[in-house]
Amino acid sequence: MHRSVAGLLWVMAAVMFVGALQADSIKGWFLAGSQPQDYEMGVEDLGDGKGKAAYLHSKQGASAGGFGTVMQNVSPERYRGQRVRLSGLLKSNDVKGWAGFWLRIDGKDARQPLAFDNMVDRGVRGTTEWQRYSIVLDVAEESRNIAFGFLLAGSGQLWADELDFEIVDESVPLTGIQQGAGASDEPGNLGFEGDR
Amino acid sequence: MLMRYGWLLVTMFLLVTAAADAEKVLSTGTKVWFKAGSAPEQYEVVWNEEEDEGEPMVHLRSIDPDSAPGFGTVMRNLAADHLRGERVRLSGEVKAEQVDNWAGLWLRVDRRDGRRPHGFDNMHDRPIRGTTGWSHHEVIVDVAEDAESLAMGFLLNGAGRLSVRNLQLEVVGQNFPVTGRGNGTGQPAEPMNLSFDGK
Repeated sequence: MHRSVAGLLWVMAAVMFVGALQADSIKGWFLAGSQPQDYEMGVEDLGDGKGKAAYLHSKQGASAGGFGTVMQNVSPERYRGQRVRLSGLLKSNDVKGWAGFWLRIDGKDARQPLAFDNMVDRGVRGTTEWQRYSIVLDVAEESRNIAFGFLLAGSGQLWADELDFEIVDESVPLTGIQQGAGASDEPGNLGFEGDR
Repeated sequence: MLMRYGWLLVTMFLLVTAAADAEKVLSTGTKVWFKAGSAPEQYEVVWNEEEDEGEPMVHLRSIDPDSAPGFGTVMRNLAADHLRGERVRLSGEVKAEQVDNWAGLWLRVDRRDGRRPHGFDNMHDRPIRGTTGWSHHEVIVDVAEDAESLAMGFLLNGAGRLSVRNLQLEVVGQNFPVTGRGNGTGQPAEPMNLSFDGK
């Protein structure tokens, strides 16, 4: 994981911020990404006893270089100064690029998130059964927004269910990139301590 | 406009109390305020019908007292220049008469390129309804670093009459929580519908 990859991460984080399109097919969530028009989202019951799950599918002819995401924003008010964990189940079918949950803590500058993880280092690929994944980030005092969701880069089918967004204690290790630790522009913690 | 605002900033530096930082945004009167909304033709605006210790007052009324589709608003714009990165509060006193549907103060932060606003609250989650005496209301939003301008005002959706006075815009500290359910990016207090069962 080098500087260029980290750069790409920030670009993706920025794109997620500005590329948002309104859609209302899942209450509380909207479709966004670099190529949201290449993806469709919705809710379906897979008949596996889990009840309704969200899906994010690439459409025919989706460009391999883009990604779609189902996301929401939350006020950081209740989470400032805390460590939070986003976790949930993902299931995939024939994911040609990669897929994952993502969590971003925004500060004053929308182009420079305070913390970010999109599981790019441990993404879901190919066909997988339901499995729990998690992302752990600190919500800095200067946070202005918390954004999170699940993304699908390239073509494939992704399902998500049973998400949890909770405050955890400091004993739970961080994942992803955090700003401010040593003020280095080289991300020092690219999150190889994930739960896989 | 810029000259006026420069004067305001000087005042802000000279005066110590938070209250003194407030700009009395209604005092510019009909010069900068205008009527807008989804159905402005259904509403009329009357200025200064009653003077209250020299404070301007404005009334927004549905023309047909029984029905008014859409909403009308009295609004103005303000350059975001000196407010970027700040948390601002629009507050004022509002008197409602037979407001059928809802009314509220609103404040929106617009970005340079017309993308979705960064900050927005129109009191939709805590609307003014029915008939009320003079009561204080406020909306608090953050002004993003890439904000271009602020738009603000008060709106009336449906039949009724609204009177507004002592509208003030001021910078407040981070200890004042932003108001409203959303800030334009759709920012609820807690994540929702995490199991996709619609709750």
